[in-house]
Amino acid sequence: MSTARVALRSNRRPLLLLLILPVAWMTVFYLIPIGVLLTHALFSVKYPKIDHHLTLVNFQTFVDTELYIRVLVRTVVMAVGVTLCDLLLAFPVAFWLARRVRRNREIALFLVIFPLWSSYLIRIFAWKTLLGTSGILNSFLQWAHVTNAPISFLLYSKWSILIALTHIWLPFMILPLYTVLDRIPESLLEAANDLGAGSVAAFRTVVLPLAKPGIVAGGLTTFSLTMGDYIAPTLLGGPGDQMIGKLIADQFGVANNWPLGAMLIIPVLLIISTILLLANRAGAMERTAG
Amino acid sequence: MAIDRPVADPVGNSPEALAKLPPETVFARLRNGEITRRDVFKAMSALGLASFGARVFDQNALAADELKMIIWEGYADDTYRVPFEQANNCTVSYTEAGTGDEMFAQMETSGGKNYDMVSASSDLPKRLYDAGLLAEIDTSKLTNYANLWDQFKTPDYITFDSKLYGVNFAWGPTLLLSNGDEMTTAPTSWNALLDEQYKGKISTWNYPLQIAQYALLLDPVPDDPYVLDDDQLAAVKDILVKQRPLVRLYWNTGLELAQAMLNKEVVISDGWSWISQQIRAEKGNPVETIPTEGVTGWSDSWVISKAAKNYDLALKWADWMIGPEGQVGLTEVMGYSITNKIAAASLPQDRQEQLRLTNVTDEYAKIKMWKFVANYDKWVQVWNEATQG
Repeated sequence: MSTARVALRSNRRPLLLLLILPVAWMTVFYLIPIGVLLTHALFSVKYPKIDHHLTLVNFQTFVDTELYIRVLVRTVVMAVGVTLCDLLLAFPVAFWLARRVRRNREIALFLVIFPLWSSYLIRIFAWKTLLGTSGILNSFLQWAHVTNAPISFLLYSKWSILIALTHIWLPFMILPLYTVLDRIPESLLEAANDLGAGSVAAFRTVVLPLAKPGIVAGGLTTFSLTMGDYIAPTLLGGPGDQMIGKLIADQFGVANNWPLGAMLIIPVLLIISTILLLANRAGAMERTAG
Repeated sequence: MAIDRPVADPVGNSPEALAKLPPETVFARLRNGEITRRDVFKAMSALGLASFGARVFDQNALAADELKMIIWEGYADDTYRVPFEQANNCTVSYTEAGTGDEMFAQMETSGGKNYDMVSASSDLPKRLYDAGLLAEIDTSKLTNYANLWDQFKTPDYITFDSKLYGVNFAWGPTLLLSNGDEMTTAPTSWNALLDEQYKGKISTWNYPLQIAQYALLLDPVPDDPYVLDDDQLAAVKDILVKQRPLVRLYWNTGLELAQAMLNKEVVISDGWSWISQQIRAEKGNPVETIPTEGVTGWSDSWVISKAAKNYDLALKWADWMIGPEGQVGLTEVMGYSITNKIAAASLPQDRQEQLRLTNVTDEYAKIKMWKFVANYDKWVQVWNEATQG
C-alpha cells in the first residue's frame, strides 16, 4: 500500500468536503435537469399542452415507426465511420508529433488545435464551397482532366457529412492519442527491438496496447459528437441523410412534442453508455503504469 | 537635471483635473516631476470609470429602445428598417427563420420572452394564441389601419374571440422557380418537380406544411389542402417518396436555395419571389411560374408577444410596415403583394397588375393560403418519414 493511500484513509473528511461542491453542482445543474427531461418520455401531448399522465405511448411510437429506428441505425453507422476515419488519420499524426518532433513541439500542437478556434459553422460552409459541383475540388479535377463532368455525390450526400465531420472532430482524436503516445518510454521500444521485434511487431505488441486509453478517449469523443450532430446533415446532407439529432430537435421545436423527443434521447444515451461500459470492462480506462 | 518648472495649473493636480487635460500636458508634468506616476494612474482610472459608467448608462437607455423580432428573410431589410430606427431612435435586432415552425419553437420555448414580434404567416397565429403568447392589437394606435383593404383588417387567422391579434401586411404565393438559362421551355405544372429529366437537380422546401402544395397534385383534388384524411396523407407521402431520389437537397432558408440555384446545383424548385430577387441580384435568370394546379401561399401579419418589453414600439413598427414607405419598400425588396390600398394605388399600373393588386379579392382567393393544421404533428411525421426515412 502506497503512502498516498494510507494518507488518504486517515484524512478522508477534508477530501469529502472538497467534493461536495462539484458533486452538488453536477446534481443540481446536470443530473436533475436530465432526469426531469427523461421523465417526459412517460408523458404525452394533448395540443397545446403536455398531459402529465403516465403512459407508454412514446415507446410504442418509437418501436412502431420505422423512421426512428432507421435514422438511429444510420446515425450509429455514420458515427462509427467518422470515428474509424479519424482514428486512421489521427494515429500517424499523433505518433509523429509524440515521437519524431523534437523541436518546436508547441507550435506543432498549436497548429493541431488552431482549427478549433474557427467557428464550426464556418468550417461546414467551407466544405460546401469545396465539394459543390462548381466547387474548388470539382474545378480542379476537371482542369487536371481526371474527370469530364462534376462529381455530384461529393455534396449533399453521406460522403460530405463523413468528410466534414472527420475533419472537424480530428483535433479531438489527435490530442488524446498524442498524450498516451508521448508517455511511452523509448526504452520499451528499444527493449522490444533488442528482443527481436521488428517495427511492425513492436507497434502491435507495445505501442497499440499502451495507446488503448487514448484510442478509447478519442473514439468516445468523436462517436458521441457525431451521434448528436445535426447541423452537418442539415447543411451538407441530401435526402435520406438526416441523423437522429435533427429528429430529436424537431420534437422539441417544430413538432412541439417534448415527450416523444425525450423518448428518442433514451436509445442514444443507452448506446453511448454501453460503449463506455464495454470499454471500461476491456480495461481501457485503467491508468497504465507510467 | 535642472528644468524650468511651469507654473502649476490653478485647478490643481487632482485626478479629475488631470483627466480633463490633454495627454501631452499630463505627461509633461510627469516628466517635470510635478506629479507622480500614481497621479497619472489615478487620472486614467477616473477617465475609465467615467466612460464606463457612461456606457452602462447608455446601455440601459439603449435597452429600453430595442425591438427584437423573429422574421422571414427580407422583412428587416435596410430599406425600411434603417429609416424606422432613425425616426424612433431605436435598434431593431432580428433573427431570420427558415420556417414558421422555427418561429413557433422559439416563441414557445422562451415563453415569448426572446422576441417582441413575429412576422407570422396565416398558419401560425392560432398556434401562438392557443399557447397564450400573443398580445391584443390596439388599432387606435395604428395610423395606417384605416387604409387597409377590408379583407385584411380582421381576417380569421388573426382574429380570436372577436379580438384582433395581428397586423396583416403582406401576402403572396409559393411559386415554381426555375433557372431560365438551363431550361428551354418554362415548366407549367407542379409535376415538373417530379420529372425524371431534372433528376438530381430538383429542390423543394423542407417544411411539412408543403404537404398542402403536393396535395394539389392529388386526384381528386381535396377541397381544402390543409384538411387531409389519412388516405390523402398517404397519397401525398407516396408522391414525396417518388420524388426523393430526384431531389438534390431540401432547402431550409431562401438564401440557401438562391445560392444552390446560382451554383447550378438546383435547376427547379418551389420558392418565393424574394428568392428570385436574390438570384436576379447576382445576375441569375430565375423564371417564376404559377402552375396550372394552383398554388399555396401565405398572408403575413405582425404579431406581438404578450411578454414584449416594448409594446408601443412594436405597434409603431407594425404601423410603419403597413404605412406607405413600408408597403412600397416591401414591393421593391421582396416582390410581395401588399395590404394597404392607398400605397398600392401609388404604384405604376403595370406593377400593380404584376403584384396582383388590381383585383385583390379575386387574386387572393386564387391562392390556397396557409392555414392552421389541427394534426400538424402527424404532418411532421409524414414529412420526415417520406424525406428522411
